[in-house]
Order: sequence, then structure tokens, then C-alpha cells
Amino acid sequence: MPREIAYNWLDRTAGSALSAEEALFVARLQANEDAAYDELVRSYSASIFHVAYRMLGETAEASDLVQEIFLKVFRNIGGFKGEAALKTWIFRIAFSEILNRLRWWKRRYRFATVSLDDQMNGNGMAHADNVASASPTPEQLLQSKEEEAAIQQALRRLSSEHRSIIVLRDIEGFSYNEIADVLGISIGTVKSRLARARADLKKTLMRFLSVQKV
Amino acid sequence: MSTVECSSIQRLMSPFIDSMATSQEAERVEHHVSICEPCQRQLQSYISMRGLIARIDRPPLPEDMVLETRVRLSHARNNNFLVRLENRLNYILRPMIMPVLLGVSLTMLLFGVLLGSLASSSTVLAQDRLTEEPVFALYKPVHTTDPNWIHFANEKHHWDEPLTIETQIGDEGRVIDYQVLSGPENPEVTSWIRQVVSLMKFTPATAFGKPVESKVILSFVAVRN
Repeated sequence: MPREIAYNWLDRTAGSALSAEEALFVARLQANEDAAYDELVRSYSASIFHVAYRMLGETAEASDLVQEIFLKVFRNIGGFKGEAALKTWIFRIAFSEILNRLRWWKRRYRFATVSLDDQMNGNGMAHADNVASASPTPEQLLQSKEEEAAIQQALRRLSSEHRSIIVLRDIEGFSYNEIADVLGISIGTVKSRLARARADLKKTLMRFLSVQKV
Repeated sequence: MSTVECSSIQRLMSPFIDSMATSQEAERVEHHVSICEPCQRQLQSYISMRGLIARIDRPPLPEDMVLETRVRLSHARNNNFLVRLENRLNYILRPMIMPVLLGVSLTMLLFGVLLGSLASSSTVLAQDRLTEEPVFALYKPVHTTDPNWIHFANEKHHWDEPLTIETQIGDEGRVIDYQVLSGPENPEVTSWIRQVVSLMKFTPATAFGKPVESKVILSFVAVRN
């Protein structure tokens, strides 16, 4: 990529939310560099897929959506001015696509009952069947599968707003600031929405929570 | 413990476990749960739930998802007009780079040879032997084709050590100044040098065809029979 383009871009983004390294990477994306897009897909595909899977609960849908999200990133990267970190900007696009997909589902399947069990592998377990831990005992494996199925089911019962905030904070570990940027809400709203979402989730997952009597 | 206070504390538990409560809020929560058992259990359940969710494994990536993403991105990028144009130009221009470079190099070489042959020159030494023939010569050094003064110099010298003088040649080919660099210094040698220098006649150096001043270093060595 021409170096002067990168330097011009760095000048333009002075005082932006990007580090110099990130600004250079964005400049490479804007210059349509093959290697930069490979790096982008390598860096973000797993976490975007994970978020999409937790939000949608379906592997095929999540996989398809990941591709749509990267296409949207490519189409919009030219207008990216560094007002937020690249990761935040990408996840903003991701959540916009995910929530659109959920709204579309809601309209399409308004009268249909979507059972989470439909997406499970017959025995009430989600994809956890494929997940191998380091060296779990059969009991631990069973418990882990049960917990994961319960969490996925509990997430499904939350509203999309509450599910988004739980996925971002408790599963992906985003900071409150990043969540505010991704979802386009204030820090105060992040706090209150997260508190309500956790309270709802806790009710569903109560039997899995270890609470010692004092 | 009042229910109002418990509800207020429970609303603070979510930011508290993320260390996002203010210091006053955190103190309130810590103080309250130390005296209220139900709220302590509530706090424990929040912490336990956060741990439970954080423990769940990441789903395995679907096979070929990354590859398919790259392929779709690549198609989209190639559909972009500018990228397509750039790729086309690359395909057309890349094979031409080597021939073009070779052609330019050869042209420059031929041009240089041609220029050299048009403006060739020679260098003269004290022995009056023509030696170097510079190829690229827009500057012609001073030289002589009349060795009479050298014959004169051969007949007269009687000193033992070599004599080296630097002469400045004017644009008319005559010596306009000289300086003894090394050799014997006595009135006889000085007189001899003056005689020889007055006889010297050169074809002046030229720069772009115009006569210019130049310097010549002459060395005289005695050879005894």
C-alpha cells in the first residue's frame, strides 16, 4: 500500500480513537489490500461468529451472517473516520445486522413457536456435543453440556436488547464504554439495562447457581 | 432490614460485580451485605452466574466459514470498478515491465556511445603518447601534437633527481604560470625551466567546444647512457 496514503490517513485521524497501528491497518483496508482483509477475517471471524451464535442460537444462520457482516464492513470501511475503535465499529455493524435478522425472524415466524429444542441434537443439548474440554470426567462433561444448554435457552428467553448486553458484557467481556459505543446508548443505560438483564437471567438459571448459606 | 434498602442495594449489585459502582455505592453494598443475609446470597448468585456464563465454551467455527467469507469478500472487492481496473492494469503492465526496462537501458547505452563518438578526445602526457580515449567527452583535455620542446628538454637536463612541475595552460595553448612541485632548485634549473616553458605549445582544453584554461603536470627524469 502506498506509504503516503497511510501517513495522510494518520494525519487525518489525529485525536481519533485509533492507535497508530490500528490507523495504519484501517488505511490498508481502505486501500483494498488483500493481506489486510485476510488479517481482518482472521482476527474477527471467531468473535463475530460467537456473538452471532449466542444471539441467534443457530450455527448456519450465524455463519451466514458473519459473511454478510464482513461484506458490510468492506462496503463501509471507506467512510470509517476513526471516531471509534475499529473493533467497536465492526461490532456496531455486527449488532445492527444481527438485530435486523432477529426482527426479520420475528416478522416471519410471528405465529410459529420457535422451540430451542428444535435446534438441539435430540437429547436436549446444543452444539456443546462438539465441544471438548481439556480432560473432563463424564460427569463434568454432562454438567457442562447441561449448563451450556440452559444458558443458551435462558438467553433465548431474554429480549434482544437484554441478550445483546449480556453477550457483549458477560460472554465477550466488552467494557461498559465499548458496549455503549456498539449499541449506541449511554453508560447509564448500559448499567441499568445490564442490571435488569442479569436479574432476568438469574431467575432462569437459579438452579445452576451455587449460593452458600451463611 | 428494610425492603426498600435491600431493593436499592440489589440494583447496585450488577455494577458492583463489574467494579463499575462508585466508591460510595461500593461501600454501601459491602456494608449492607455484611449485615443482610438474603442480600449476601443475592450478591453470591450474581457472582456465580457471571462465572457460569464466562465458563461456557466458544462454539467451534463451522468448517469453511472463514474460507467462504474470504471468497465472498474477494468477489465483492473485485466487483468494485476501481479495483477491477487496477487488476486489469496489473495484468497488462506487469509482463511489460522487463522489456520496457531493457529497452530504456539499451537506448540510454546507445545514446551514450553515440554522444561519445561525436565528442571524443585524447589525453596527453609529458611523453607525448596518446593514451586514454574517453567515450563520454563533452570536455576535451589539453594535449600537444608538437613535441619539439620535449626534444629540447631531453638535450639539456643535467640534474640527478626527477623534476616535476605543474603548468597552467591558457585558452591559447601557452603556459601562463607554473610551479615546481619537486626536484632540484638552483638558478641553472630555474633558467632551464623558464626556457622550456616559453617553448611549450599545447592545443588548449575545450569544454563544449570552447577553449578553456587547464593544468598539466610535467615530469622530467634523467636517463644516463
